[in-house]
Amino acid sequence: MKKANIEIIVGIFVLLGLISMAYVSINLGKVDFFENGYYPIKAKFTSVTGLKTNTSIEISGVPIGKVTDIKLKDYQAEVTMLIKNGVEIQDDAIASIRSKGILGEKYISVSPGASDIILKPGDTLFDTEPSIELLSLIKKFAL
Amino acid sequence: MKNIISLSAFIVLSFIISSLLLAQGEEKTPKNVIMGTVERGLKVLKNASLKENEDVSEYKKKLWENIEPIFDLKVVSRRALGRYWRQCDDKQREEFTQVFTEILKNIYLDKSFSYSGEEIIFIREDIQGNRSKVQTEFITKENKKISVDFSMYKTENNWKIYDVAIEGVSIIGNYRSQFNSILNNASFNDLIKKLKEKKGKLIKSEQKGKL
Repeated sequence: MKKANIEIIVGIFVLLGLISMAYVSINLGKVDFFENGYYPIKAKFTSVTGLKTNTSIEISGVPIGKVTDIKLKDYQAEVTMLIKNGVEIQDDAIASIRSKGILGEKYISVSPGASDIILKPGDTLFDTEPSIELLSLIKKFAL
Repeated sequence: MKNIISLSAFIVLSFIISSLLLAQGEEKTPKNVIMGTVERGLKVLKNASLKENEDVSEYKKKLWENIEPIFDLKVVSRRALGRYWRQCDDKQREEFTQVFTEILKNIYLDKSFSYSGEEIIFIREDIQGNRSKVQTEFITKENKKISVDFSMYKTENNWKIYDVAIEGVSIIGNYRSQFNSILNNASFNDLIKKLKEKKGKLIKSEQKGKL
């Protein structure tokens, strides 16, 4: 009887240890199994050069979501973004791909609009600015 | 005989109907609205460039008459002001639309007259519901290609432009970020004051150009 009790206590300790390990690794790895608290919207860009999944989406520099999928549709890039619940994106907002510094990583900056129409989950944000290739611009306008 | 008359009447009628439909169709697709306006605008600019040293104000008026109907300047102004538009009352919105339109008119109409035979070609048209993006390319004399995209929305019986992007950079997006950064630290009246100053400068430089 005593032996069985000790085994149960050890079992509980092992279980607790495993749960804490899982919790720590999920939190550190930023894994969100159910994507709770976010809603998806899509946006079409003529170019997404340098943009990767998990890239952050920002309004005024504050993260409000992340990119979850990038695929080719009609020879244009269709980006799926998860936006935090409670952050309203108007239908005339503009999503622009920007870089942090000249050679820095890319992110999506959303500039809020004035429309009364708020995008619903699954809607598409129509106004976008693609990633700008500095070299090709210099070639066109400066040379 | 009767048969021939009714047959010819049928042919004439169907020709009239199809030409009417075609004419309507030409007006209604975003591509036709853009390319038609470009064609009419280029005609005015070509005529203006033939007459050097002449006052271009008449041509400017003509060009504006061609361009204005396909822009929705109220929507352009609303989008340029972004979220601050919602905080303004009707009078402020009207004042902003008026000043901003004047600035756009002075900047872009003047620039148009530096036209020197660039070609404008249609690339593609992308329609999503009541919005559309028409992609074009301006080919310069040096054979450089500059992409110019027109964002449009459908009104009751036509398509109107609300933004133009050059090499992917939205003109309205650019103004929106400038206005927002001004309005973050200043009042709406300060913005209007700055815009009026800008307008004054533009008109002054235009008058200097004439002299």
